[in-house]
Amino acid sequence: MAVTDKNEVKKDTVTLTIDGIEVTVPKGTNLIEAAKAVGKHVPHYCYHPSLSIDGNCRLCLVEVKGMPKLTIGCNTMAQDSMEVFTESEQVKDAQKGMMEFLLVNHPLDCPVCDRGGECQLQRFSMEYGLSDGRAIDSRRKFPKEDFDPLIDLERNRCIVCQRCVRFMDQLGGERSLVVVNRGNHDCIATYENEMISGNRFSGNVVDLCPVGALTSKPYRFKARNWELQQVQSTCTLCSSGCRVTHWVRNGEILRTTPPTRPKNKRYQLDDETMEFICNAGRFGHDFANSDKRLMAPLVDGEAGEWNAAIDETAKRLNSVKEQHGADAVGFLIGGRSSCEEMYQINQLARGVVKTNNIDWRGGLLSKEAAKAWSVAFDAANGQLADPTVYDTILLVNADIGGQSPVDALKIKESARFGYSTVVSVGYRHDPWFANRINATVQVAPHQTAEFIGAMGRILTSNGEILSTDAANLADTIQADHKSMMGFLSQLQNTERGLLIFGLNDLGGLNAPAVTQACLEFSKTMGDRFKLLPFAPDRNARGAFAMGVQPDRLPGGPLNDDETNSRMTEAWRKLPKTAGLTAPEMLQAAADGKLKALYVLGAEALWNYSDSGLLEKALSNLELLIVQDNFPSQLTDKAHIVLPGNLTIEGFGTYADLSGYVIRSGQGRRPLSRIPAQQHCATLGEIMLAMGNKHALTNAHDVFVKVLELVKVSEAVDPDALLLGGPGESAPIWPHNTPEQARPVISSARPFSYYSTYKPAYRLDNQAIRQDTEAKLAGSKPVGAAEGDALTLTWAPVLFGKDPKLDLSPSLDDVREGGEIEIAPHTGRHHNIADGDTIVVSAKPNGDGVKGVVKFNEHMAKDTVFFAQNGIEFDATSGMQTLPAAYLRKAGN
Amino acid sequence: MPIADYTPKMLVGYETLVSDFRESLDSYRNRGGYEAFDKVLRKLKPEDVQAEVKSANLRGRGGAGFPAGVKWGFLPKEPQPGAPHYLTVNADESEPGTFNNRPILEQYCHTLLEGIGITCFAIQSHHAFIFVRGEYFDAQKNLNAAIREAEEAGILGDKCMGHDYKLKVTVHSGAGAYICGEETSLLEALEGRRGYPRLRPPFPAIKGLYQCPTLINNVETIAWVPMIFRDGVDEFKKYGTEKSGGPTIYSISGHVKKPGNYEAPQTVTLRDLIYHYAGGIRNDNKFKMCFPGGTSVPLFFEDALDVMMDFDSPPSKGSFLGSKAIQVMDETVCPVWVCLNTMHFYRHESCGQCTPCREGSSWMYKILTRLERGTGTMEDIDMLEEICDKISGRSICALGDFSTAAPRSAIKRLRHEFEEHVKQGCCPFKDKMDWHEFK
Repeated sequence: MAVTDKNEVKKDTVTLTIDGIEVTVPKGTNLIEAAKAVGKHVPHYCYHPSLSIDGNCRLCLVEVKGMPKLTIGCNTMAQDSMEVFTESEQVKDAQKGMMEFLLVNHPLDCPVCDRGGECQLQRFSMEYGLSDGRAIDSRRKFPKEDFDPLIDLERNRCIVCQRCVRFMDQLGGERSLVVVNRGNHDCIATYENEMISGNRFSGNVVDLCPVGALTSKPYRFKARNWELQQVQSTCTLCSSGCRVTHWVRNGEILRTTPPTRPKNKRYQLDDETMEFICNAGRFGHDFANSDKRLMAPLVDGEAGEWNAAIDETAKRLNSVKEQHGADAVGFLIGGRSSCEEMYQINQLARGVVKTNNIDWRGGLLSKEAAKAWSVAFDAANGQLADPTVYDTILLVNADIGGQSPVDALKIKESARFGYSTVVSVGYRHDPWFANRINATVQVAPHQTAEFIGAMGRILTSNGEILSTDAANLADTIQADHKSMMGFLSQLQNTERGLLIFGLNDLGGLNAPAVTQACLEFSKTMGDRFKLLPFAPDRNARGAFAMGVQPDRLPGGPLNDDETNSRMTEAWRKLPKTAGLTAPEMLQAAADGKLKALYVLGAEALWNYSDSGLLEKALSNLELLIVQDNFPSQLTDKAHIVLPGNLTIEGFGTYADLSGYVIRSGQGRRPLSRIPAQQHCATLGEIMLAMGNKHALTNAHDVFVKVLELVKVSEAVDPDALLLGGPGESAPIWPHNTPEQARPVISSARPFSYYSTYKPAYRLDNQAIRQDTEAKLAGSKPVGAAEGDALTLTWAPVLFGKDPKLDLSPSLDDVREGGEIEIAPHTGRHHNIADGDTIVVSAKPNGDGVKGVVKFNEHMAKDTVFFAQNGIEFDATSGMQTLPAAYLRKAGN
Repeated sequence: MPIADYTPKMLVGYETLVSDFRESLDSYRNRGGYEAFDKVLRKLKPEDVQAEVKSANLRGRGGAGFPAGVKWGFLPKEPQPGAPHYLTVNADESEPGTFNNRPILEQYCHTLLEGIGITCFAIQSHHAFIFVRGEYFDAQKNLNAAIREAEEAGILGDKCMGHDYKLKVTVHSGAGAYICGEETSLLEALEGRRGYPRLRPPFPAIKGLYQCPTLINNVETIAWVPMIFRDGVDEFKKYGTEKSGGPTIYSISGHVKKPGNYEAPQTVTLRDLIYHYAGGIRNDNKFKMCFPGGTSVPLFFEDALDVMMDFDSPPSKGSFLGSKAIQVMDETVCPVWVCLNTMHFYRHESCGQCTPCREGSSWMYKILTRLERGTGTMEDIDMLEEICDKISGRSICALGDFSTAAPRSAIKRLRHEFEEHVKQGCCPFKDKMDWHEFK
């Protein structure tokens, strides 16, 4: 990825010698980093490139000619003609002394410590310490305390480097961890020993801890790290698309960490990693080990042989096709499937069954929403790999904090370091995220599109923003005039902006109007705002590129001649009739018009909120084929269930929200105890069985084929990707700058620490926007609830219920979304307090959903919010207005 | 000058005072108080004030003895927009045996306030903080009363003494941590955080309190400033040495007949302080050793009795003036016990931020305990010295170095007494001492 001008390392450099080797480094590089440049390792514990410099471990002492004392490498900046010695007698003596001090009170319980083998204390003791211990006195002991449901704290091993304290403060965004007590009795603690459950990133302190003080509870006493096989893969839970390493023994995933890196001739967990992952990704892997996992195909509920099941599938699909026509078959794909699987099922639908009824947007309630998604993804030209290139990041109805936490963390960091001003507009903002960005604007759902439009008109009407305009706009949403003026001038002064707009909330009801408003806004702002539609599905951009929707083909729109002829050549004759979108397919199934449904990935329907229609649609089907690995309500109803490989067990490529594609899995070696049937192979074999002689049955071949057919924008080396190392993307983290309050130092490390790691390729998504207006013309915002009712809103959240995470008991204590959220003033107006149990009903005093209230100050007035995968509720079908909600205290 | 001729300039009539006395504004004005402040505001420019203090050779009385005028000059010449200058008076007097700031804080508050006024004017600061040790309740009470008095009289406030200069003085109570006497952890504590020393650079003169240029001076340093402008530079320099102007206050405690605070010219010798001012050793015992400046400096032994107690002479005998707190020990005192006692303090007061001080002080405490009990070995004595080497110069702040001063100097001079503990299997002084943990 190109490093942008803004983040380019300053031109001026300094030249110094380290152990006699001359080296030129950028100004502001500290001596630890400068020594790395000449291949010298200066040991350190407290220094971490993503955190502020604390200088407390004193292990990185180096000798600088002319300085009376040894100086710490982390807080000493390289200067011209400096002479640094990292291996002199004095330095070695200091390192020995420091190692001895660190071990004076250490319990030396390596045999029972989970960190053993990847412990920096062990490593540096061997490399820099004394061979003998002289501390014969009694050792300090702390009582065992607990502060997180997922993290184990063993204070006796702690060396108080405070990396965890700084991480929670600076990246986690809350000062929940502190050091208490003084001197030798100081230890890491929380206020009054309270639990800190609820921070989505707390798991990262486990990786940051250089010793065994913080370890993962689910992984506790499970394994030694050197016994484990490392599988470089990617997380498929959300659109952040983090790279991860799964640590596997006998086919069982024991832990998940950020990607390991080659160090000392083998891949190791990097205690200096700058890639942070969320707790769902880190602890939510238990589903892969679940006993409930399906291994054999089920035909009519009975387990059978693969060949028979595939033949049966082909036979039944053919039979439905013959009886009712090709358009009586529909295909639904989950957003977590790989590009290869999506390509295969697309070929099955269009090239074999010959229908355009294929879609991956199963959560949507209307076909207008599906259309809006197509337009939005077509227009996507922004990226989140490096949010710091944007002066302003404007989010509209995009719950990135709740649905895509690591992207949210990147945006938050960009705001913290002052690269970007981040403002979120919408009816409900995730509290964690909202409290850590620059501002939120609360706008009722039905007003959002109108608000964006009005904003665009004010900003483009003339050179200057009139205060009356700002005041009028502020009045429409009852906001403060002065802040509105500040907000508008920020937007007007933006040179490089990013507009992220959410598409999946409210079952997509708001998507058409909001998409149209955002596209128009970007256009009127002279394209200073890049656009990025936000959908939380891991491979949303991949699905779009693979064309698994009625109006697209792989690499282009359905009505594009070039794409059409290219795909006709690949797949022979293409179906001519218009296809159905996901909501239409369900409606058609409920009406009895659609007879067969093929579902790849049960998550395709897990956040569909109209359960009445879904129930009816599924029970009306003649044939339901579900290709998924775990039993669910969907597999219970299915006539044929075809399980397959998990992400880490096969080769697959996935695109993140920015379009960067990375590969997953080990590729060549299935990891489960019984090698799993590959989903790609299943689909290929079905095609073969249905008479297509050209179908591919190997994911690698599909990948190569995809590269031929899909436009990509950055260099691809498929050979390296197929044979070589792990999936690589380019995660990027802001690093410390000198402007920070306590941290002092600018690390001169280039902005992208992993800039040498390339993504496989980037999906080419040149905006095709000529006919945007035509496509979405006339989209009306959904109406508000009428009368004195509140407006009911809903969206999924990552830490809520999820077909995979539900099988991960580790996460039970950190689940979110079990509460009903309202704004505090709405609560006060209805005489409801934070924590009350209330009933939300569609009619005054009617039956409804019972739940606990959580006040969220970042919510629009008179709005009620449910996490749709947190609380069971039923949104009424076919909504043109948002459902009304009435609140009352339970028991009244 | 002969010490007999010297009359106190700061602790005026101190020996006759009752303990809860505070000099009132009227009393202070009657003896020429606030005239210097008025003169400075009326006649001088900030840079002139700095030059004057520089020429008076006023040196920081907190322990390091750094020239005050030079330190003031480290601040930017003019406050930049958004970065006002602050003065922080370090009144976190918690060095063992040190109580020479206490009379200034409790009794002679107005002297300090006048000094603050002149200093703030010199560095163009409009807000001064006095960070008072948490245990000094009376000092906080009296300082606040004095500030109120001065504000009511128009000496402090929006128009100081009628001139176009505004100044606010805030008293902040510490929470009882020795480490907060270190200037950067004092700033951390003042900002409401845990008292941890900061890494330097940046230095407080560039980024101090609230990341703004900050001057931090000891109470006594500031309190001597009015004298320079009231009596003149020459008069002030008369009571000092060539390199360090002005008289100073010594705290004498331990085995002397009359412990207390004594103001004297810096030309005074240790012998004069002990035998003239403090009346000699108790029971006319033999002098064995003393800390010349709190427990953070190496011990003085008999050969140092005639050393002059200014900033520059004690190093010739291997110690420092430090906080000018002389703790005298007679022949009954066990040097191991002294080290153990000081180490108890340092291990308790180490903030715990950096490794050598946190782990080293508690380890040394354990070793010293063993030695004093009589269960130590000869190797332990060598190991103590080695640990001292591994701590000093390698910690974030000076507390690490301070903790090594006593054991290092004691082992160097009285190694045989340490060895005696090992040989006898007990403390050889335990019957002589009034109180002993391991009797």
